[in-house]
Amino acid sequence: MAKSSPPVAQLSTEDFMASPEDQDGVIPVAPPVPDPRKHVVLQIVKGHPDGVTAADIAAALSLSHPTAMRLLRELEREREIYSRQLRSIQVWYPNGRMVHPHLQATKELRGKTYRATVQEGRSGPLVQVQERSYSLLHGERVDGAIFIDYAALDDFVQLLRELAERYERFEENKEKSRP
Amino acid sequence: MRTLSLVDRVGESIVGTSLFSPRFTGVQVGRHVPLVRKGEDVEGLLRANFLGTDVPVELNLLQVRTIRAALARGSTLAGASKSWRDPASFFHSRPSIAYIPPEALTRPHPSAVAALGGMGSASTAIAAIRGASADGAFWTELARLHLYAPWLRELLVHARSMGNSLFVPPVPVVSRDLPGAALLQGRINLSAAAIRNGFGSDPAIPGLMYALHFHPSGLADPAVLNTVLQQFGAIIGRADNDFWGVHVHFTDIGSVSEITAAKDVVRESSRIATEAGMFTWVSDTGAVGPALLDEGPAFSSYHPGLSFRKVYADAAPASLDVQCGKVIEVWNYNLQRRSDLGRKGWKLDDTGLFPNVVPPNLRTCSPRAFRVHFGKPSNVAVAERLNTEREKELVKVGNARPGQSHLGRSRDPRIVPWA
Repeated sequence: MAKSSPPVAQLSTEDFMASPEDQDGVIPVAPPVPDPRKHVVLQIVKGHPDGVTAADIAAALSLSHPTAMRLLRELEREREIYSRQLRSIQVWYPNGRMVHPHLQATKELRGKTYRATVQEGRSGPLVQVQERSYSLLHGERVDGAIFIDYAALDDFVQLLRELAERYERFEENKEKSRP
Repeated sequence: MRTLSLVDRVGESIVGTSLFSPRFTGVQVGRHVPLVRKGEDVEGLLRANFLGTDVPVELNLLQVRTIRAALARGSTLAGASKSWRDPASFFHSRPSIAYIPPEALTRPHPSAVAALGGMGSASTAIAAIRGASADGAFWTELARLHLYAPWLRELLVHARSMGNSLFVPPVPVVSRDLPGAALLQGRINLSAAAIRNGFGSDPAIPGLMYALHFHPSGLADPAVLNTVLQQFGAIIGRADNDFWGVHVHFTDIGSVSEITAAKDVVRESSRIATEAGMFTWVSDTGAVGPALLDEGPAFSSYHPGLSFRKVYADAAPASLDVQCGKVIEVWNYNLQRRSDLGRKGWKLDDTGLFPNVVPPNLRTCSPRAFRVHFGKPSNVAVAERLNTEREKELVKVGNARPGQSHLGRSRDPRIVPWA
């Protein structure tokens, strides 16, 4: 079988229509693809436990200041890094480093993937829980995450149990109140 | 066009209803449904009386003549409801999708080329070009001769005469040999929508599905898949697009080796379509369809013979036993030959929908009679039973991947890799 003919790539929507005026034939602009620079920014922040500023990132990667800020804020939303305001400067720090590769567990619950890790925090160990997803368009990504102090883990689990019990009582009462 | 209404979502799996036309508005999603490849499949379906008229069906439009003939033969069948027996209402009475098997447009078998030509004057010209051209040259010639529009109109009129609700336009199939198809596919989908709009608001002319068609070799390059999906997302994301849903098809699913990529494509296209409020139909998936439903489409279709072969291929000389086709068992999910059933005492797992014991007169009959009277309706019964089990697993148990769990029970080497 012959390879593709070069003209194929140049064929347009109008080439296959009876009347070109029927439609504009314009392919809309594709949605934005994930920014590969974000990964590089994360590596830089991880390499500087004492913190970096947006200006440092902008200089290191020849980015504009707003672009560096956008990438840092996206990483902060994903709980990969965090920031502190030191006088008039915002400084960005890496979130806790995993204590040991063994201290990581991944579980799929009703189709969603959760990854829990024990990390070193500034004032003691932390448990990080990430909700993760994979897509062909965006690769693997973190949809959201929370940190809980390891010392408060039992209290946190207790909080969830109390909420679950409260919900079950609510459902029971709803059932009873039905005519 | 918003054609998908979700009630629940467990993982990627969806629960809800879809819209096929103003006549079919609340069609339940999350189902593995029959595909009529040829007339004999209709004869098998005519024996599956348990199948409700709310179950959508896919139709190979190239076989309208043999399908009409089979419907006429089946019109005398006792026990079938009128809607099934009447050739004019068989497809009209239920939601249905007509398509041209994409294998006829990529490295086609001579019998596929012959089938392409049997639909009218434009189709005759199309078949002549298809038979004489490589994949890329075929589409270049169609553009040069302005043949696509008359061909599509001819096909739409055939689909209208069959009472189909929706139609899948023929598009270039993404393959290793035709990477340009990644972009051309979207452009031709847009052309098809404009041509369909030329019929105005005639409700009898089927609405269009967006076609995402792949040759197994086209799944190897993530960059090409990314291009196809980006373009699909951009077109389908427009509020004024003219599509009712997306039709995903892998030509020759039995030879797909990039199974993870195939699942990724189904999952990603379903996510994009769902976000745009449209349903996804994954076509001709055979016995592995339930696993693909776990990736988020509304429907997967299967040929009742559960063949892993193309529609049009060389008929290899085979023993009578092989010609009898395969029958699948609902619980262990293995494909059995007629001789295998004989060794098991002619008894299968009970679906509660169709007799699970092969009648004595079918144990030694011709292969065709076995397929029509037992094999195909039995396979349809298994799919229907699994649809019921799927709903229970999703809604009551919360299992986000009931299809893949079920395929995991099989020992069949063609099924297991999809689990």
